[in-house]
Amino acid sequence: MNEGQDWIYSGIVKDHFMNPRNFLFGDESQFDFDAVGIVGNLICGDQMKMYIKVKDDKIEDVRWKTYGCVSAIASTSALSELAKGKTLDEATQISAKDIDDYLGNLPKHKFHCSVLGHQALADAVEKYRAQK
Amino acid sequence: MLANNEIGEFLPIANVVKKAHEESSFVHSDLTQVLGKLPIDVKALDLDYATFSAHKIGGPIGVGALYVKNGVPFKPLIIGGNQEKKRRGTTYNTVGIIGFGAALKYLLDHKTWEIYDTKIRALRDELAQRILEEIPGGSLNIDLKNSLPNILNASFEAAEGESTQLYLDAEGIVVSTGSACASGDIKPSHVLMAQTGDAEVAHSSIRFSFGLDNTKEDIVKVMAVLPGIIDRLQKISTIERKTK
Repeated sequence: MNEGQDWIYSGIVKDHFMNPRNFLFGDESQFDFDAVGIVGNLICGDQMKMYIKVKDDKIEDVRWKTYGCVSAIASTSALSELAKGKTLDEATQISAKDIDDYLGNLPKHKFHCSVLGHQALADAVEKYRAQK
Repeated sequence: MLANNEIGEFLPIANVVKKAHEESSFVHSDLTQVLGKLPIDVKALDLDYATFSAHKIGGPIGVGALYVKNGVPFKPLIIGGNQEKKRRGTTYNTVGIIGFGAALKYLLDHKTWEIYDTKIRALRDELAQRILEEIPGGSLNIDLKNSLPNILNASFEAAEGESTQLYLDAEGIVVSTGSACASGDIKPSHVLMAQTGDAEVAHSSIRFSFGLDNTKEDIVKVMAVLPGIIDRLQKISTIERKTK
């Protein structure tokens, strides 16, 4: 049980947590997506979904949903900013480290949240390509 | 323990003591969580050993006490000095001990266990009721009738605990959570897992702990922001809330 740890997140992480960008609020029908990637599970306490809208092989728009901690929410928010406008190949190459750098570094034991983010987007791209 | 620290549930210590003594064994109980919140009689409980800590009763951190029943085995943990009749060989934490004494005096003068049983219990129960009535997907992890009067452990469907904790922190409200993320572990609260077997319940749990200074205003403050926080987290969650 955590009895109140210090605020160990960077200012950028805090910003993405308090003001997350591109989240999908409510029902999935709110966003017209071409594919959705999913990663994580409830046993671990982290689950992320990345919804992508693709046009001319580029990610035209992206939304996400997350069940998870501060780092998980911040990671998907950051990733959504990084992914927009990228080609599908470029999107799959956005690494966990790229997300972590963008956030001004997550605490070490939270790095796996950026790994999950990368995997969720890669899963979305893979599912999109499988449809073709 | 007399009561579990996460959910406040009373534990059947009398049965444990009885069984242990039948088997010629000894029982130690950590009474830190219940000191000042329940009336305690170590002799009536027939405990062999009991520990207490000052920090849970408003005393300083870094000082505690050990009760040892006359005649049971005892071996010092810290040896070398002659302090406390060679029971604990190190310089006294004088300032800490005085602070502990002052905190205990306050407890006894005010009979704080009666305040906890009445005023604090009423606050805790009110927050519990408001959570159930006003937050869809809110549930209790405690038995209100059979637990410490100052602890409220609740889970909120589809809203992860550390995120809830930190949104509340931003509003000046401090709580703890059974979520694994928050403890730096991969496993969530072992207490809630044992009780429910449900990882989501454990990861989505929040523990409110009331103290003697809390008032109705604090409940109002919590409920002014908590429903919105939970609703927001539920709406961005990958999990769909099952409760309508």
